[in-house]
Amino acid sequence: MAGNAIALSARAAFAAALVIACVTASAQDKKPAGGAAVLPPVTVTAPRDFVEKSYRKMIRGMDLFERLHAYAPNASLRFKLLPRKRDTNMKHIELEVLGPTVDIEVPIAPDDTFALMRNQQAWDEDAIVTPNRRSRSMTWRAEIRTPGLPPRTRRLGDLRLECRVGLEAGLVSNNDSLISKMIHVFTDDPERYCSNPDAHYLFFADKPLFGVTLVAGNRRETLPVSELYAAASEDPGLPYDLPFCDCEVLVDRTYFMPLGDRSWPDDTLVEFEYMDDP
Amino acid sequence: MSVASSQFLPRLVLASAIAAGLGGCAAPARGPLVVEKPSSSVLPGGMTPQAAQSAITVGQSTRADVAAALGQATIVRFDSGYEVWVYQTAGADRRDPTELVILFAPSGVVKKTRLRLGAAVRK
Repeated sequence: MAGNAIALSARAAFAAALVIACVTASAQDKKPAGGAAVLPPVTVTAPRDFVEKSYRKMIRGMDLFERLHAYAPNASLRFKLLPRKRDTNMKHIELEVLGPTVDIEVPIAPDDTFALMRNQQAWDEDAIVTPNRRSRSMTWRAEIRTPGLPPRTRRLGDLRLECRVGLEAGLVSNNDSLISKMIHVFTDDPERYCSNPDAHYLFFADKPLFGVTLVAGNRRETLPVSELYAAASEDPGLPYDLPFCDCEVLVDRTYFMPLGDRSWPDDTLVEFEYMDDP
Repeated sequence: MSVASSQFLPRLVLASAIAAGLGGCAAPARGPLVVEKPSSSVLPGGMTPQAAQSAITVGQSTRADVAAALGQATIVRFDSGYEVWVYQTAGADRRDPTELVILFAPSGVVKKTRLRLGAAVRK
């Protein structure tokens, strides 16, 4: 099966990179008595080009979820895979925790979510979490949902925690590594970022959105359209920037939340009206 | 300082990257999104947002009908065929605007409308 082939390729690439590293180190150790190197330096680039996340970072995200559970006391944490390209195949994804010796399959639910197990060996080996899909074909989010909410709603406290866990777990992805580092300057402190009134963490609804309304007691407020669609209505240049956004094919599902506005309590309900609603 | 979006590159950051030779020359391409933002998408003088909403018939009004009645809108066009048109009142607060939002189905007929009243109007 093609999926298996890709998974095997991923493992082979990882193993090859490890072998190359060991051989290079070994060659550098073998020097003649005169001190001259026997072998010229060789630069090798491993042909690995798959979506991957750091296992340790994702575990740190899980740790943060436990510490901040009060935001969503009845919710559990899962992670969600989302398409980043129009042709990304979201069926039959095989997800693994992969290290030099560790290789653990992670089951994915029909809604493309999964729970990550804690494994000391994977931690020690600084493993990666990798689906059998090409890099830049997917993005990831924390998925924190309080059970029993009315249909078409989320809870603001759940979303506040998703922002923090998502950043701590390193789930945000952009194409250009240098630009990602620049962004990291702003996002390496999840608490600082997610509590900021100007935070613009991109959330993705289940379906294309027409409206989002916050409801807390008698207070009811619909978000301006500038808080939907990655602020497209404010920015005619957005289509040109989309390749740098992990919302690339989800822009009609994106919305911002007033994460740092504490006048909205964590129990605030977030109601969605979808484009295809009657 | 304004905090940058975590996933979406602020244009300033992107512009800096391009200026530094990192981004090269991005060729305009028709992607999953088109945005049209005219110099003004304010409702015609004297027309209240409620009156503007009443001028539209869901399931019947076309893009041409709406443009004729209300003028130019800010348009967000998705590759699904849906379009969102936005009109605001004169002098609207950017963070808390009064706005009329119209959703066109891929058929080109109005599917939904939404009137959002900013705090200045709600009082």
